[in-house]
Amino acid sequence: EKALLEEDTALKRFKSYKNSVKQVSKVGNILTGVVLFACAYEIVALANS
Amino acid sequence: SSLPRDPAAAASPAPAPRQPAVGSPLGLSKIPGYEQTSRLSGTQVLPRWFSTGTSNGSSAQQEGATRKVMAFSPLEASIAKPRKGPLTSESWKVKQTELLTRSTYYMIPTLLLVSKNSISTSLLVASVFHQVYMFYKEILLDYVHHDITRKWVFIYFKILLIIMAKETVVYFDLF
Repeated sequence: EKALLEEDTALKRFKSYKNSVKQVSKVGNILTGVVLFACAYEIVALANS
Repeated sequence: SSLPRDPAAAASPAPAPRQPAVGSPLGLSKIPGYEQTSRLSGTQVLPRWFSTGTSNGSSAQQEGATRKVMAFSPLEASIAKPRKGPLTSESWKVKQTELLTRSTYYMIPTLLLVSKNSISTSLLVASVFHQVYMFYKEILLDYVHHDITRKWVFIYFKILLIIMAKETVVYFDLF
């Protein structure tokens, strides 16, 4: 039974990307937030100056 | 048992005349085959063949039999209680995005005609760029199939469009 549950090298190509997709989307959300904040800051600074 | 029962209809041996389901909040009476008889409670909904077959029998036995029947059609089960889950919140997100896209689609010509001050004009710019983003998103969803590549493409494209919108706003002195 343990031999069946072990990782098969033939199946390694078909691993799921779900977790890395979640990680990437988290990074993307943070990056987008940072860029949005910077743009808003620049617009506000330009409006005040 | 939430609805008050009609005593005349319950006492008569003849099958009770069908009433339109007044208390039904889900509008189940519009679905053919699902009607409410007057002697059942408001939350209990039976198909037509079931209610006509048992309406001649005694009331207590009939109710005892029908209590056991929970949801025997998937349609009824889906109507009865909306399930909570990750897919539900995901579909809510999709609905939100669709609503945003549609509203920006109609905001573009409206703001082109109406916009007088700088804030509504920059709103116009933002909605134009949102439409551009959704347009390219559809195309990229068709042609980029690897999940992680797709995510990165969306992230960089979104950031590019945000910066372009900001540059447009700054260039035309909209603020």
